[in-house]
Amino acid sequence: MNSDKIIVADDWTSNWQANIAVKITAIVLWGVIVVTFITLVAIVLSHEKELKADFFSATKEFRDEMNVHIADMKSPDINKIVKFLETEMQFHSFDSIEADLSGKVYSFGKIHDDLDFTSLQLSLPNSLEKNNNGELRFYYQPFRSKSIDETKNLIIGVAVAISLFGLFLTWVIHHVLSKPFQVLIDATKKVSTGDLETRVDIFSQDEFGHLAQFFNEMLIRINKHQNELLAINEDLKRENSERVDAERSLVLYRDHLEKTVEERTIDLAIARDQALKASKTKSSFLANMSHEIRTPLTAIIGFGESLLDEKQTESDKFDSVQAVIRNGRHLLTIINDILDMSKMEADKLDIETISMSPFHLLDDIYSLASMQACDKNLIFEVNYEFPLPKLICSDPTRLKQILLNLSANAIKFTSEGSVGIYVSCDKAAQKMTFVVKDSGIGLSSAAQERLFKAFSQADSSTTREFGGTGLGLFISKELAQLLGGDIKIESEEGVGSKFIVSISTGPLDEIEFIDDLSSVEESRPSPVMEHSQGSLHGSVLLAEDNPDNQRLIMMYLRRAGDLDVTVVENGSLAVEHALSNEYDLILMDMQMPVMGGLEAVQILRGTGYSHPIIALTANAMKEEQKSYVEAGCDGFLTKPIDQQMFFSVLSERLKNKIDSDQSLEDMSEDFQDEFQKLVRRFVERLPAQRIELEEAIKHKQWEIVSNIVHNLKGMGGGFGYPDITRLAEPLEKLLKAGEFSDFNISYSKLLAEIDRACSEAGLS
Amino acid sequence: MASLPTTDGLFNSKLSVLVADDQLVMRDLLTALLRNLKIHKIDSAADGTQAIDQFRKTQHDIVFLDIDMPETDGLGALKKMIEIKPDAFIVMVSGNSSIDNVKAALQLGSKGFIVKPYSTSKINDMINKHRKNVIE
Repeated sequence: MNSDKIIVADDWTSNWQANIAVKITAIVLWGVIVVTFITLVAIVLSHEKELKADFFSATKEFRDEMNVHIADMKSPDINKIVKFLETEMQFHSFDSIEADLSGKVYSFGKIHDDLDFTSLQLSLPNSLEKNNNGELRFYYQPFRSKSIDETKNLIIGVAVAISLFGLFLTWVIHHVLSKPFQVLIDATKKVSTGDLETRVDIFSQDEFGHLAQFFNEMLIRINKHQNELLAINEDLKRENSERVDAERSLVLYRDHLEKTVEERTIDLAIARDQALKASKTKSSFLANMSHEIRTPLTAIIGFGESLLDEKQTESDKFDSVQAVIRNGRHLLTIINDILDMSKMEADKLDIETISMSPFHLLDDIYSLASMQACDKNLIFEVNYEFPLPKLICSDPTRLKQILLNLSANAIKFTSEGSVGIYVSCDKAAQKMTFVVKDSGIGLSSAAQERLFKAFSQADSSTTREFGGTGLGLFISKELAQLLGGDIKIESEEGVGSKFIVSISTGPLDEIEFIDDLSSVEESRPSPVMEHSQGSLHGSVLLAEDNPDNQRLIMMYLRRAGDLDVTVVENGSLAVEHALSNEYDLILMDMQMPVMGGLEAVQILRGTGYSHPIIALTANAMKEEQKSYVEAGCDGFLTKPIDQQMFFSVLSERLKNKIDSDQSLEDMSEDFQDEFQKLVRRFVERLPAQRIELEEAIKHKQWEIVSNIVHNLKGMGGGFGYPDITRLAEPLEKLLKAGEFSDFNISYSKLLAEIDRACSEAGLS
Repeated sequence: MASLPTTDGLFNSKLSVLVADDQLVMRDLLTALLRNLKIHKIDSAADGTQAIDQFRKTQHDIVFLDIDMPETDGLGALKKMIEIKPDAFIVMVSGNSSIDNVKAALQLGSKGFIVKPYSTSKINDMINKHRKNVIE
């Protein structure tokens, strides 16, 4: 509500036009004045007429009197007539008369121009003079002014009366009309200034009274509405302020968002560029890689097929086998590199830091690398700069990978001279340094820069000449960094290269430092393989769907010792076999049709199966391996299977095996007795069951046959007759399948076994 | 056939076990094996319905339930027992190791599955598994 726009009739009193009393009084007065004026005019006019009539009748009367007198005159004489006229005039109220008597004019009273006159003929006697024409002229003041003069008092009186009446009227109107209005106006004025609490006194029962009453009611309503509006207004204000706040924060947020979006857009653009670049590099890498994989595969297939050629000599065959093995190993290296690479990219490459001997590690590397060097007529040597710690904390597998890779590279790119590893240790910095030095082709500084990048070899032509994925150095550098160090290169083209590997050793304060190799030798562990290989006993269940893998693992198992091996091709069969037979170890492939290894292990462990299960997997990811262990695997072997690893796992798992025959000896004597009684009872029932069985077969009561066979299968083994169970099992299967063709053979075998058991027990 | 009685005798002596099999000789064999493991509170039932009634009364620590039984079969009894005691330790015993049977039993909530003929070591494995369950 804008108070500026209210017209406040504050100064209405100073403006006479605004005074209703004055207006009404004026209207009434004007009316009265007009009426009075008309009345007065009418009065004056009628008075004038009266005066005129009176005057004219008086003149005529006067003239008639004169005529009568003249006629009565015995001697008409002008003078006498004049005298009579003069006398007579005193009895009449004429102001002035002029008499024209036979040409002579006689005036009586004052005559002036303002006066009008009327003339009447006098009949003069013929006796007079020559001329008997007489005329009387009566002068008079115009009747109107006379009339007005005469009514002047009346007019004044009327004017005064009207004025008084006007005053009275004003007073009355003021009291009767204006005052109530004033009260209302005052109230309205208060309301207009915002005072809605004011009320009008109701002082009469007339229209003003009603007006006041309605005004009051209106005020109450307005007040109420005003309050409601105020409340609403308050709400609105609050809402508005909230909205304003919200808008402000929205604006802030929008600004922030815009900024974020901008930043993200830039980030995304960068990421996109990087991704495009990476994708491009990877595409070319993949193309390169497929070539890399095909090369050894071609050799493997080619040499493998050549073995089928019967014309080949033994030495040719030996060479072919050598080539197959060499290329297979090379393929494995490539695939391992790719796997490492993908793990690094996914940040999933785990480092296992354990206490390890650097000397044993270097011995392994020496034995592997010196062979390669020997093939190329190179010298390979390991030089120790003593003192060196006997043990360090690092990941032996990864460190070995780095050093083998660098050594193999050095040997690959060196055609004459020597390759060596120089080992030193900085105790204070807790760093160990391995320098792999060669006298090879060396590297230009530009090539050195590109060297450690993924998917790049110094020169693409070297790929063709020397092979390799170009991943080795990149992986080695990443690994060295994960081991708390780095790899640096010093090289001169044509002279040779130095790859300086540094790794963190962990705390060395309590570690023994040695000055020569003699103290190392004695603590060397003996290889596990030798005593385990070929000497293992036990039963193994192998679940593997791939026939080639089956054959390969069977071969390894044969080599491992005198093992009883059962092969099944899926997880479901593995579960059934494992539950119905006793195996000392299960080798379970993880990826199989029908039921995978993981599910099979879960089910087996669910049934309470307690014997060891080893997972076979091509999946080298640590997390997957963890999930196998969680499912209940005791360990895992990665494919392709490392022979040495295979034997060590197998010997570990079959080590604690106790011969099944010992189990009865372990039992208490009481139990022995009771058990023997039970066995006796079982055997004693056998002849009866045999008869029952024969009867049922004779009458083709297959259900009964099936029941008896099922029971025999279920009980035989438990009571020390595993052959009964073994023979009853296929019989039960045949019965279930409804195949009776082979039935008789199996059946007679079972009967023979029952007979054997009976006769053994002295029954017949 | 792994190592034999490694089970804690004291622990076992407190165990109550229900053996349900329709064949007397199998019940006796299992009872004998359990006695050898120092378990003496052994009830037995000749069919599923009996087994359920006994279990409702005693709520045994371990139940060995044959699958192929008259009246209520083993799986039916298993279902009922799990209803009575959701964490019941029930081992199914069967001459049939078909994967469907095994899966059905595990799905219904059995804690173990052994196939006839069984050795003491298998029974012992089940007792050990139960003990592990209790400890955990």
